[in-house]
Amino acid sequence: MRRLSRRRIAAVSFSLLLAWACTALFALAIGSVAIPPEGLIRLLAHRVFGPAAMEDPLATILFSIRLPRIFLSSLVGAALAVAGTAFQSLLRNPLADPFVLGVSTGASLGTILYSIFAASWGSVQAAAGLAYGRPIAAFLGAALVVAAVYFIAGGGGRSGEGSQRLLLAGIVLASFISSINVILLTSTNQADLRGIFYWLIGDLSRPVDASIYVVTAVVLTGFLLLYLFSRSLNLISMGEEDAMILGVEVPRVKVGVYLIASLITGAVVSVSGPIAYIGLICPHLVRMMFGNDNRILFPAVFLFGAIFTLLADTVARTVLAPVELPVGVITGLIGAPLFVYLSRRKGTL
Amino acid sequence: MSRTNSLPSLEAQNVSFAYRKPVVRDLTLALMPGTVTGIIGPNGSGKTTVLRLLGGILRPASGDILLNGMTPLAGLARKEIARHIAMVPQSAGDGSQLTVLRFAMLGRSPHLSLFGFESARDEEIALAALEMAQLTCYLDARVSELSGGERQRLLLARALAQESKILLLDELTANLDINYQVELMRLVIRLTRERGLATLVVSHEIHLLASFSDRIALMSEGAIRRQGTVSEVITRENLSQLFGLDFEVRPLANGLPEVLPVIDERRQP
Repeated sequence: MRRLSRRRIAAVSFSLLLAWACTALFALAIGSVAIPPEGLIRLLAHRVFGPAAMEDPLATILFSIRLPRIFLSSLVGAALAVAGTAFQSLLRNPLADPFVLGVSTGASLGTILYSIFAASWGSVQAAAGLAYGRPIAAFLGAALVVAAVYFIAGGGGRSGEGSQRLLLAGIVLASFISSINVILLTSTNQADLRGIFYWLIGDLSRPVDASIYVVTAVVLTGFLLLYLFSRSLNLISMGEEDAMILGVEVPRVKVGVYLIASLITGAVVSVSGPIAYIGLICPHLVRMMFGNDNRILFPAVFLFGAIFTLLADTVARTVLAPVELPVGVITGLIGAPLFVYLSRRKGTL
Repeated sequence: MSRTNSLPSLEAQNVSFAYRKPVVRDLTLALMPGTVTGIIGPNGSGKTTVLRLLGGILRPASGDILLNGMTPLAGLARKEIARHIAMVPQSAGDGSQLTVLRFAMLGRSPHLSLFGFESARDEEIALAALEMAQLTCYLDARVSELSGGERQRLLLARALAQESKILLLDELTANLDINYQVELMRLVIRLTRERGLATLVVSHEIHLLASFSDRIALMSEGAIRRQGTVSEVITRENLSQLFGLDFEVRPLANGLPEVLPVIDERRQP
């Protein structure tokens, strides 16, 4: 397999899509109330072909709780994995991801600040602004952290050393902002400490609201735009001067990819909270399967991120049932050891 | 040679460039089609900066760089520049995970459209370039498995796959054994003649450039001190001035000068 072809990309994407569909069916069926396969098929068939809404309690669980959550976890996972892939290519460092770089934490700061201000505006404006305001605030928080990380690390990313400094700056800044987040949340909203605690680790159990449409649109558009940069990113990941020699407008691509990756990170973090390690693990595993070419990596990682996060969230809500864990606990348990393993293999820890 | 009538493929007119202090001063240089131009100078004389300016990687602070005698490089998109100018940088980026063929195919990037995938024709061109660089036996090997000399040849193959008319080579033969140096320069000069390339070679190897260049420029402290044909420029006096070392320059049977630095430690008391 010397040349990458559209056919190979289509085949890989289709297989992963199929794998996602199977995972989704599995996730629909299990939970604190198990829905047997024949019940699942009957309910789904009735929903698609049936005449009217059912009063079946199982249908309520399926369509009002599990289906939105499966959609949400897939969307969040796809977005974070794609953003991780983009950051890794850009910084030429396999340990970069939205969480490690502090982008997710910055986005959660934006979300929290927005919620505080929205609460003081009153409920009407808050509800209207929720759909757009919260993702935008999250994006601003994310973009601000990217700028700050760059500033702290003294710019660069040109050499391996430079990108290592960026990661350290990101980790430092993330822990700093996490502290601010906790202060802000506990001082303003003491009613739901458990919910806050969960959200800060990354949680997909909150009911989906109107902002999901905006978030979905941002993630899909961002993914398509990043895909346009995939060949340029291939070249940049080898070295910026080489990329320029081979015709890439390096500064423009860098700024574009940073903004888009921050935007989609901000969008999903505004709903899910900062979930760790998805953007780190998924690109790495997908690279092992399909190689380094971003043209196949982006679509594969989009779908794989969805599958991975859907599985992690399914484990999170079933393993200690009826108690649900936040999904960030599961990704953290898998991600941290893998991070150490990768660092040691690269000799950077 | 009747090449004097044609327009230069690439031309620098009074180009200056500075980081904090001036690095290149009032550079005027023309690369003609079918001609190898060499730049010689001590470390830090600005040779690499000249190459990066000519390749459009750096923008001049003042002066113009013209493509085919008329188009200013500054007005062109990077992709357009990469279709006209191929460059072998002194220290290449990291492509060690790629196979040799995939690496050479990267040279086709400037010719692909936004959604483009390399076609069978692109692969043919990359294969032809690898054949010229004598690397066809390594097609599926990883770049990391190649020796230093093979890697330099691979970088040249990638540049050749760009199919550009201008070739800028920065220390292409550095750290290679003398036989590989000669072999590689023979390839460069053959391609320059056959394809009518305008080739610029920046190198430390004075003897190599003296043998393989058509024109030579001597650089020190960011400025070109002398330029002209090899026999005009490569003289004992010029080289001694440039490097502060005595040289022996002898004309060979083919008219080209042979250059030897005079290093006789025993003579000293």
